[in-house]
Amino acid sequence: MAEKLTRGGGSSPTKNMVLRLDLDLAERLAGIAEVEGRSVSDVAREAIAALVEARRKDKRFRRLLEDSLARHQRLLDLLRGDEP
Amino acid sequence: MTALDVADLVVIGGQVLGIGTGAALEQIDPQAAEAALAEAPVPLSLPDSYAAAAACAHLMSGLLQHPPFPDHREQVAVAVGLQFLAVNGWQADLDPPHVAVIVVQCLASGRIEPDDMAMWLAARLSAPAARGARMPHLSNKGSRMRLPLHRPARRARGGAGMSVDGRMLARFSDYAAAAVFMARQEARRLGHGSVDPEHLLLGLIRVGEGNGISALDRLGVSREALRRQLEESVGHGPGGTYGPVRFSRPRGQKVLTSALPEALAQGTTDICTVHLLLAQYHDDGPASRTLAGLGATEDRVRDTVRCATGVDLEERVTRRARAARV
Repeated sequence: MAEKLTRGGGSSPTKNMVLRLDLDLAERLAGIAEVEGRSVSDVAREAIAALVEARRKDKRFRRLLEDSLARHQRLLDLLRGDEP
Repeated sequence: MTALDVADLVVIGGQVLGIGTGAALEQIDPQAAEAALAEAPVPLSLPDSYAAAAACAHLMSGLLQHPPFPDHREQVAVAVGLQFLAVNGWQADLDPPHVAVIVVQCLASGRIEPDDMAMWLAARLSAPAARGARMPHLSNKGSRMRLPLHRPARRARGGAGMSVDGRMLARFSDYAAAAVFMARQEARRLGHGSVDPEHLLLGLIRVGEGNGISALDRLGVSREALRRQLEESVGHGPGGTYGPVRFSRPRGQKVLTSALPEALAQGTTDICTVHLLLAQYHDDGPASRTLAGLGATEDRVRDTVRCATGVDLEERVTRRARAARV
């Protein structure tokens, strides 16, 4: 994978990625982009963001995560090197 | 089973690193994330806590080898492992944290294998809450790991606990393995259906050899007084125990598996009787309290062990035993 993080002109940083997609998925992505008159990158970026957003809004997932992290906060602090 | 994917790692990374999902999406190495998830094994079923622990340990191992957030690999691996367990209905109790740190760091450095970690982790898992509906975005269909993490069948009362298999004993010195064997005999003799920390300590006394019992001797602990007080503390059970006598859950399992991080802390993955003795202090029960009452507090035992030279001898015995068993 090739990737590059860039910051330009006051906008949020962007990251170049090379995604390996199977042929069928790539063709579907290209089809959607063509129909909607957008770039494939634009569609892919939106899809990834939507996927992450769906996870972020999953209340049970968030609750379990927050509980787990809270119960093991000291362990995580030790792993981060925050404590002697 | 509910499996995790790269989007989950983004959310978990964002939360544990305190940077939010947006920054996590910017920082994640998706190729590493894919590689880590792909390394997790795909067993057909996960019928018990050991199977869940094994799946988690392999996932964590993959994340440590292919860190999606390279600057925070251990934190993220632990957070992802905990979340993997949680979404599948398992709750981990990794206290004391400094011991968990040792285990995680040894897994990261390759000093222990995922299966070793699984043995340690399995004793620290419980399934406290009924598993709710599957996560809407996670399902077996199309998931990377496709591991059915089913609720373990509730075992019969007499059979609850963990068996000690040959793979685990391959790491034990002869004296330590004998102590485990004698612990079972002690549990039977006292009419108990499972092995608790007190039985393990009685097993160490019955074996009577090894650097664990030597440490107690050096502290002036009377073996006979220790044995008598332990027996008084646990009393006699109803007896009539047939079939395998296993290590109880959670106390027996916790103490037995805590011998591994004690060994790791001394720079070895081989378990001697002294590690079984030190593991007693991971449980605040009659065994550790009896030891302390006779003058063998945790600090004093650790000081004695540090000064002892007998460790090397038992380790040599261990290596011979391991070679013979393999």
